[in-house]
Amino acid sequence: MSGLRSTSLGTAILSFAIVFAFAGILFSNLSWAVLSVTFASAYVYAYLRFVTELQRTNLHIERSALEDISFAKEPTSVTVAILNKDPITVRGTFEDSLPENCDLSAGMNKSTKDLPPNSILKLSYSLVPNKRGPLVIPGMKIARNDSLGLFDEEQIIEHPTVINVHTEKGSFDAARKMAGKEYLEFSGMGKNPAMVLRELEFDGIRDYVPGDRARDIYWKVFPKLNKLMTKTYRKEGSLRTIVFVDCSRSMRLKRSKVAKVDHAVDLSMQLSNVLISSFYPAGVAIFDEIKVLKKAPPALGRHQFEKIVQVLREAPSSMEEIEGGTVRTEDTESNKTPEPKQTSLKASAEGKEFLSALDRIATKGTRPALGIGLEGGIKEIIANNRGQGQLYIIISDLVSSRDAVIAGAKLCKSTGNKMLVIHTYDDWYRNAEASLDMSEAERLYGDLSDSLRIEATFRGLGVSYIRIGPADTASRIVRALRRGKT
Amino acid sequence: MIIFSRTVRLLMAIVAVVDLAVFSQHSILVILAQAIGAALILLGMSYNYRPSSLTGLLIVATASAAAIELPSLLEVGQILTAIVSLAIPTFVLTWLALSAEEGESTDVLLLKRPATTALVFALVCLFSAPIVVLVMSLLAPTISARITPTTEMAIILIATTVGTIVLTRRASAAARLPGTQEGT
Repeated sequence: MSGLRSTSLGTAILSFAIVFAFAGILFSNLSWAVLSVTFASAYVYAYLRFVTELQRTNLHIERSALEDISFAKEPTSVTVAILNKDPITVRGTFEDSLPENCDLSAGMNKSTKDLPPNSILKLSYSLVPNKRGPLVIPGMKIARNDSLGLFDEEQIIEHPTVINVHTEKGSFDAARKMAGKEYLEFSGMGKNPAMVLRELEFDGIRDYVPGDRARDIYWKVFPKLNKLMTKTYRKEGSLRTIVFVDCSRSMRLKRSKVAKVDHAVDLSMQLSNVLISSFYPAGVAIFDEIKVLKKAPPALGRHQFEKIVQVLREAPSSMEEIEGGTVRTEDTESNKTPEPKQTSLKASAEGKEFLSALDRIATKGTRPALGIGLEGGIKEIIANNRGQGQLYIIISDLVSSRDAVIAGAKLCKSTGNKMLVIHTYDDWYRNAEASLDMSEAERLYGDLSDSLRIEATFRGLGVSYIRIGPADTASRIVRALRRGKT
Repeated sequence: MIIFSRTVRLLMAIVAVVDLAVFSQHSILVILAQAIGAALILLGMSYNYRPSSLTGLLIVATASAAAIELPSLLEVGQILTAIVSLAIPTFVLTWLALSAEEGESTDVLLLKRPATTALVFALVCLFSAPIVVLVMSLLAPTISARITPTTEMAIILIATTVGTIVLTRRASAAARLPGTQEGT
């Protein structure tokens, strides 16, 4: 009798069948045996009927989040409508499964009700996501009851819904506050003729191209040459900037209160808002070890910040590291439709080995294929914006993507672009309360000397470098950059 | 599936109880027990209260089984008597009593396939004793075996037990279903 659980009534019916069988033996009367057979066949009918009911289940589930953007630590309203399309009534308790790292704040995500054919059950509730990243509501759990009351069964209808949860609302407020106050100075020469009307320097003239503005046409040479020429300008301080956020595995590993990737997402959002408010075309891109996951090209305008926020919403969530080196994650890539099953991986064989393998490759000096993520993204941007100066701000812990960042720095040097590396220093994101023994001290010393070596490499390539920890805010970084402490 | 309205169900219950009463010995105790049981079943069905129906069912079934004499199930006539006088009315009453809480406004559904399977199972169980005797006579015609009512009962109960286990062992693969719909 695997699969379905017999209720107390089902057990009672089966017990009566057994009692009647004993009565038949006791009284030597076969009519008791007939009664026993009848009760057993009723039990069998109930079982087969319930199996058929479960197989026929045809529920149409529609789940939607009411808010356009969901923030971490803020309630998000969810409504679920369940339509029974089968002619058989569905009986039981309907419960919308809550994702991990999430609390129910208002409403009820379950309801005990008979759902007759062609009728709708609606559930409305609010949940509070505890962290940024994709929130996967896996499906609906129905504690089904048999119509005859003899069996029950827990039925799971997998219908995942992904809600991309953004970082905490306070981070947006900080970005807004910084936008008017802070000014990120990172000047360079660009060829953007008219976005900002000040500090333009004449660069040269070229043939007129349809689309050039009338004010840029060099009318004086028209009678001599009998063709239209356009003046071009070089403008100081209008470098197109793209902030690359490293979302590789090492960045997502959460060892204390703040995950590096979450901090990087907050910083990139705030920095890009500072740049946009200072009339610097800014964009963002998120990348991992393999590829650039998503990007918003540098631009100005009212909706650019919204585009940046949309890209950053797609950044993968952090992974918890718990005792014994086990990593718990919810979803690896948010832009994919999630697998029906909740993924719960053991990283003792994956995470740490993966990182140490990367480290081994890095120390041997061989060029890892994993560097194509950032490198490829930078190459693509350089190819698309030939001749126009770019500033690349890379926020990375330089563990998984170290070689890719160094390769990108070399590219920038050879092509005349600029790069700023904001190094989320791994040891500063670890749990500070951990005991410091000799081996730990040696490890910290080794990490620091390694970091200094990397810094020297970057300085040699003409890259600005700043090392940050979880307490560093965007405004502190901007001020440090202004003071030239990079 | 067949849909039964409340009126039809009440009529079926009355017919089943009358059937049981007709084939029983007409002593005052049996008639009284059947009447009380029938009243409880009908009340339970009327007020959608399953415990009352089940209590009535047990009273009616016990009284009827005690009142009907079935010395052997090796003859076709006896088997038909068992089916018509006891098995069918009790099965119908059991189903109706269990369905008493099915819903006030909805009609009760009888799914054909499970019902057919259950009825075939009941018939196979009731015919199991003659089938075993037939098989024994075909395989070993020279052996003269004495089949007592206890032996018949043992055969029927073994067939019932095995059949119940086999039919209810089917794993409910349908318990985990993919969704058929989209969400946001």
